[in-house]
Amino acid sequence: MGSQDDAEGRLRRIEAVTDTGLAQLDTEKLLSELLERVRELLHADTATVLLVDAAGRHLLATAAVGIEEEVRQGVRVPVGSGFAGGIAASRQPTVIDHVDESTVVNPLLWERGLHGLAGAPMIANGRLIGVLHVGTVTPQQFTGDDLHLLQLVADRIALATYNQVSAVERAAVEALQYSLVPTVLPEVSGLTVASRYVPGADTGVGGDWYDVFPLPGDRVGIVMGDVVGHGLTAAVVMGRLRSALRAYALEFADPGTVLDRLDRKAQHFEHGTMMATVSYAVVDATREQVTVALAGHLPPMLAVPGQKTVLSELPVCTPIGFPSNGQPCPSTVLDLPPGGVLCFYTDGLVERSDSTIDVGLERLRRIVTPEPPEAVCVRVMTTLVGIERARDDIALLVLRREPGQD
Amino acid sequence: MSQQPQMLTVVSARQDGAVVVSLTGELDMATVGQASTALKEAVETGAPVVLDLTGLQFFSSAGLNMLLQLHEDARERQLDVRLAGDQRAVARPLELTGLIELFPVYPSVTAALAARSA
Repeated sequence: MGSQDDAEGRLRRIEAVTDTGLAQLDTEKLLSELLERVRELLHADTATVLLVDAAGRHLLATAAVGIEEEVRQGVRVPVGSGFAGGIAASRQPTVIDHVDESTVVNPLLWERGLHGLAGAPMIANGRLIGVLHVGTVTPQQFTGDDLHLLQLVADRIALATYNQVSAVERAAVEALQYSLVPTVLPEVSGLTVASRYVPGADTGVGGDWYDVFPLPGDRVGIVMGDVVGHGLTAAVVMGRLRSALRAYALEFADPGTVLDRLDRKAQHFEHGTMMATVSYAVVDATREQVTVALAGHLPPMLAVPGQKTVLSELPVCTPIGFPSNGQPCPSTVLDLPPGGVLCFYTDGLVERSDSTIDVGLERLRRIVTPEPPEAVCVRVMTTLVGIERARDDIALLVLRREPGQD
Repeated sequence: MSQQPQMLTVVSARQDGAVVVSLTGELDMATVGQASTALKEAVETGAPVVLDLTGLQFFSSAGLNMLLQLHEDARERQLDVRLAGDQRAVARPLELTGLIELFPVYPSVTAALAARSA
């Protein structure tokens, strides 16, 4: 009983630490603060948190008390090897009573003179976050109670870390996304443009982007793209593609050539690690014609006054970054009469899990009309997205050639 | 996401010297992980791969990344990969993204296997 009360009392102290006043600390300070408590509670000499890297292959010493050099030296342990690596792989709390090269891979641990180690996996939302372990320099044995308490603490730290890391990552991705996707589009004579971007409910901000920029000779470049994947990685890839595309757009007049160059760059430097669908269009100086190239991207809707709106079934080449068959990306010229509208979008707008892509495309086709772009955006978003947040992120860009004076 | 049941069944089987990976149901962001794992294992056997999509009612953009990975893994090992399933729910997304050019597509697993041995 006594030890149970004691354990509960100790746990309450941990809870007090994790629940209050920690929100404003950054991850490292939060962990150091918690480790100090853990070390005290378990009468240990060292306490260490190792967090798993993004690839899930290594544990990186992130915070430590009593053995601070682990963090300073950036200790990395492969998942599956040694004491911490074994806990990460098996997801089971573990105790060892002697520390040497046969039981651990990190020499700092035996150099520190540790005798016993107890460790527990840190798991939040079913995902392995890292490993918490404590060590002692005296031949004291860790008991089952100790291990139980250590696991409780590891769970709490896992949740706190998970929340903090994902909050930080979300903030970083959003900052990146919103800095790269223009909220105010440039004014272009003879054209009106409006756009929308909405992060997905399931995925958060992803790799969708659009871009509108003036080109030499009074032409205008229009980009709509979608990097496969979500989160920080997709947003960073999107940033690189966006800059590269702008650079090639200044150099090459033909949209298909621009996408070929972009593809070559992506395949050379990011071989097999990224893929994006991109639509790139150039509006000519007269605003009468738009040349469009599609790399795996859904074709634009074309709405012309007095005619039925159509999905412009253009030839398409493979997505950017996808090992292609070496065929150049074709460009197609579309006529844009006065008052005509072109609507570019990402698949999040037309894809729903309860229907095929045809159904989504037809729903969009019916509501895109040759009207002012802002009005078209409002109608499309109200009809296709409504009040329910879409699962995937959505980008929409509508451009209209200004109606003639006569 | 967790309140929805898994909407995809993945079955791998040896047939005529090839590994046939059959996907039945809906391939989307929530289910693509299990399909990718099965394809990775199939490629690691070193045998030709037939990806059977005849039982798919829904093929979302999440499937594209899966195909990218499959194409890449198979190319590294110089393996033959064929798709079975030419119904519109599958063919249309492949057509719209230009991926139809990269994979030979057959109406059925039998046709894919027969063409392979020919």
